Amino acid sequence: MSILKIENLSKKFGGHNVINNLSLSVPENTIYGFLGQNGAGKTTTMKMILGLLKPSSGKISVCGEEVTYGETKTNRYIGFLPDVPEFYGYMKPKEYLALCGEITGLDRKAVKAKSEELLSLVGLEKANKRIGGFSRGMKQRLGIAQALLSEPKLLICDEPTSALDPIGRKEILDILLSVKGKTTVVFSTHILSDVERICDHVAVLNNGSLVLNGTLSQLKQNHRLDTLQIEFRSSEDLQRFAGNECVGMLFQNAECTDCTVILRSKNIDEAAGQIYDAIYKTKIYPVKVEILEPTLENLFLEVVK
Amino acid sequence: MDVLVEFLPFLIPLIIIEWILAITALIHVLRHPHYKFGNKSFWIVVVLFVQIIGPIVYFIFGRGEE
Amino acid sequence: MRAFIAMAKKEFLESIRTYKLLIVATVFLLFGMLNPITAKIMPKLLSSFMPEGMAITPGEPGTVDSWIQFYKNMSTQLILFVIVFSGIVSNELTKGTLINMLTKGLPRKTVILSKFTAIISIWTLSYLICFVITLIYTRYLLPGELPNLPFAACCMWLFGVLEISMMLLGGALSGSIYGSLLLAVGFAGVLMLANIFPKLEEYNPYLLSTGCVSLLTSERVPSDFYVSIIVTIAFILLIIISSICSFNKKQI
Repeated sequence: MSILKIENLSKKFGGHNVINNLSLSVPENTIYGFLGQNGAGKTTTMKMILGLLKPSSGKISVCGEEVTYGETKTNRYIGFLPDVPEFYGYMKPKEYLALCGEITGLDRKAVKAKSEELLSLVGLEKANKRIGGFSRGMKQRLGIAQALLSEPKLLICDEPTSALDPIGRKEILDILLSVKGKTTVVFSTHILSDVERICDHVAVLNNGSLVLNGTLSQLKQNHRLDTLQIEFRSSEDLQRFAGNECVGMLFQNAECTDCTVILRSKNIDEAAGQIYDAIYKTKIYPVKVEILEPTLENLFLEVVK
Repeated sequence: MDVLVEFLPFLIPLIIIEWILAITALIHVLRHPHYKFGNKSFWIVVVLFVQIIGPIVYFIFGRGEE
Repeated sequence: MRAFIAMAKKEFLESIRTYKLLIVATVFLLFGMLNPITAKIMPKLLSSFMPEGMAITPGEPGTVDSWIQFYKNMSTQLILFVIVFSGIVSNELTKGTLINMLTKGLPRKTVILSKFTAIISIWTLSYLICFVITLIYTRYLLPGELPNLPFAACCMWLFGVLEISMMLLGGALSGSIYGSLLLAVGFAGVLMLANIFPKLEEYNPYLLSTGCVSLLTSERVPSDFYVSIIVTIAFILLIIISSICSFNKKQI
């Protein structure tokens, strides 16, 4: 069952199309990475899911219930972490979480226990001062705590890591990874390594429409380039090797740079076989023979061109 | 002297309020060294020596975000 | 209902911890003391500044003079109150602190209603402080009985409620402090202009702020104010409803 479903969603600001006929569905218990450049429409999409913005057309449903603009009942399934979460600076974290609990209508005692648990999960159990004095990273953690308070089925995070230093980023990602299984996580980012680290499903948004969508391994499989990279000890080795008749055909459309060569072939296994035969015959041993995996970066650059 | 006695019920609370305001503001100035404008010494002077108005001006206009 | 109480409590906490309540309460308290003193001292001051041989000597100050000061100063206090609380809606919109609350399923009308409740309670409390202090010190300095004292006080209070709700509407419509202030001040200006027409006077909420003294001097009786009170209450309800409507449609 898909926990979030978006069908033919469009959003116009003035005459400008920000979201263009977007459709996607998020399966349960996944970490769904929502990639896109700055201004691709990630935040706009998220705000529409939360009923904060009115879609120009299209339908969004969360857990099978349709999202309505303004006041939406579907928000009770959702925990949301805005890109820069803002809190009441004059409150302490526990007071803030207690207020959140009251609003969600949770039991007071349960909230108390839950907020202690969450504050220690996000590493704020000792931060017993007013939120106004918090650093950016601390606010982001508190943001996660408040989003998880009602044990939502769907956790939506808008660029949770983009404003943080590498250590802060890793910690936030670890927290997100730790809630997997209990909660479906949708998070937007433009940092590719974050996606590779924790996501199992990726969607790439470009100019308001979806250009890539699938599981990470699936995407890599589909966009696998039949490319072989061989690195030699020296350029003479490379020249001698290229002269061998077994590989002459392969080297016709090769990119040679100094000691390395990149070969393309329709049948990568056959090409690899030929290369190993040639190595055996010529006794020229390369430093490295590698079948190139497509990186997410390559994929991303390819689709947002 | 008679005038002073007549207005004593005003003067005493007035002085108390004055000092409560001044001290609350002073504590805030010292503990939150961020202001919309001015610096610490400026606000200390304003809060302590401009009675009543000083602390009020500080809380409305001078107090920075937490 | 729980969300409403929680949000109203949050508003009180905010006004305490951001020192707004302290400022407003102190100022109202000080004015409460100042009203009778000014009334008592003013004639003495005036006569000491009068040139020698001036025929007119100011009369002895009476109880009513203290209350004239009260209503005169209350307009200033109301302006200060509106300035101090002008950011109550717009600050949350510009800072984005409401996003966390709204995405937790907090109904938007609860936001407006809880803010309205909290701010009116604070207004009532401050007003009461000023009223009681003036009352006590007037008894002490300028003793005397006046008619319609509580009724007149309620009229001014209601006018304050009207202005404060206008300020809320300004915040909900424009999302900025200036919008709040502009609407509250502009509305008072319109009421003042409307007062030029004597026929409208009876209906004009402005009567509630300007006519208080005439109640104490028995120039007017409470029944002269009934129409204006009804108009004001109708205005307040209308303003609250439009605030909720405009806030519901706001893209946040």
